[in-house]
Amino acid sequence: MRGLDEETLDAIREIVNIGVGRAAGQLQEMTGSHIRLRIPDISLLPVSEIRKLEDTYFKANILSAVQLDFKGTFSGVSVVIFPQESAAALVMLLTGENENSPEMDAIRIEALKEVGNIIMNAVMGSIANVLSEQLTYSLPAYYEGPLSGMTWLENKEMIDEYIMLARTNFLLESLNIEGDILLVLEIGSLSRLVESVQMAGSR
Amino acid sequence: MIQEDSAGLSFSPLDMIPNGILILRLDFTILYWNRCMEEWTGLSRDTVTGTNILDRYPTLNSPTVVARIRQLFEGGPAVIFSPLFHPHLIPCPLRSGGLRVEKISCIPYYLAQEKCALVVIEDVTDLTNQVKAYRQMKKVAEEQLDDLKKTRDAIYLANKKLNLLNSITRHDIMNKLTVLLGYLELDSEIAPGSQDCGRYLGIELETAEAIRSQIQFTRYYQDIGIRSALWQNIEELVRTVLPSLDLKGIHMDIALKGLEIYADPLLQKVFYNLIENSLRHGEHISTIRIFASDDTRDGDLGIIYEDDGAGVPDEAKEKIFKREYYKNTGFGLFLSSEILAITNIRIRETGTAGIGARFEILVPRSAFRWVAPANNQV
Repeated sequence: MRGLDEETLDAIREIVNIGVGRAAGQLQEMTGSHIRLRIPDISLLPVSEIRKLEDTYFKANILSAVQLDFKGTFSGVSVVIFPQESAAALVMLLTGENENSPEMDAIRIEALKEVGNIIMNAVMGSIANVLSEQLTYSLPAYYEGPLSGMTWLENKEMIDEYIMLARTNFLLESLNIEGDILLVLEIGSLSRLVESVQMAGSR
Repeated sequence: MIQEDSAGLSFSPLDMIPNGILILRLDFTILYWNRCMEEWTGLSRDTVTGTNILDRYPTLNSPTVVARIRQLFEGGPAVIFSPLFHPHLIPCPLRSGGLRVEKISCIPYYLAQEKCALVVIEDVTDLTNQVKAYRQMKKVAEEQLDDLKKTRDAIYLANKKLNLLNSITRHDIMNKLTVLLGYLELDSEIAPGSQDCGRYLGIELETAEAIRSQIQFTRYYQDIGIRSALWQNIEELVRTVLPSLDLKGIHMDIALKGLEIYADPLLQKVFYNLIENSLRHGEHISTIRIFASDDTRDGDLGIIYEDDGAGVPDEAKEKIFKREYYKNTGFGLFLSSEILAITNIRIRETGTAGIGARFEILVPRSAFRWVAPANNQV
């Protein structure tokens, strides 16, 4: 498979967008803060260009990420990634803490896990709902370190040709905190996802 | 692991786990309540099983909780409720008072083909307290480190200033000595009692006096930077210098309560000098006001010193801070500005001649703080 046609990409964009909108609503209700999540840019990145992803998108050395494995008709990992300082700023803004430290301690990690959990649940829930697919999931796990240290990168041979990248921004009050949602599919899963999307479109 | 027996649902292995565990049906009916939950809530499983958790704990019935658990029943992933956002979702009192801090995970779970939510509650009270204590310790350590850095910078600056002052003064004294020696040599070549002899003697005395003045000047600056800069309560500091000044008939209006500034210990002399200058040059002063003003640029704090005396003529406003202006009348504004500069504090004169002197002491953000008055203060 060499990329996706525009129609399928649009359909995926819409599904992810439903999830992102739902997540924004829940975060807003939970924190009372005015939160806006930008409509994500969806793109496919050849797995051979993961290094580019590291260079281009994640200039920060240390990233904070929440990761969720899923299995079903299509399997893989969904990951919400923030540069570490953005992650701490996001948690502090959501919780009203006003400390300057960019450090992610145990309490902040739990809070970020919940934020990541809300986003991924909403996005993955939307995908499963719209495509009427049954998926099983792991518990969300927190990761801190360089992109290259993430476990799913260790098994590159298991990864499909492409990584789906949904780039969004969290707009809180006047601050712009960037975050990324990655969908890393196992071998063969991308074509099954596309089939599901096309079937859902024809229903 | 979970079995059904004749007496109903039996989940003995889950009773061995030191976490609160409960199982919920789609309609939020409690199917299971483990021993840990019995212990934490004081409610027996017989009391709670079969009842609706939303009736028992109405606070759960909020969109941010219920809607997310419903997502799980609709096929979504596990739901995490973090202690920062939801510390006491199911209130569990502690024996020592207060409530346990909880981390809750809701996991999809199939029980006899029925999709349920397995709710696991971890007690993270100790962890939370430790993290908070660690944050506090870190904050204190950072403050101390910050103070140490400031002290190091102040010592470096004070040394630099002392070296500069030593070098300038030595240079000045050498110049004066050259003049003195020159005239003494001329003296030796002329006839005693001549007209020139008297003139030379006058110059020699004047030069020797200047050397004495310069040596005296070193007495005032020798203490700069000897002791580390420290936080000083300004109002208390100003009040301690007042008894040593003759302030008869002068109203002192000092409004600096709770203000501390980080400065060389010689700061006291700066205020002494300002008041002494008012008394010496103010001619007709009746009031001296010292107060704080944040109406400055760059977030600096201004400590304003005002009197209603003769004021400083426009042409002298900058000169009064120069070393050349030093008139052997004590500490002097030059040394005052040098003392303040050790911790990056500036001073300038902005009054109007004929109306009064006004000195603005500009303290950068890093060198001032407001503190609550001590309990023993009135």
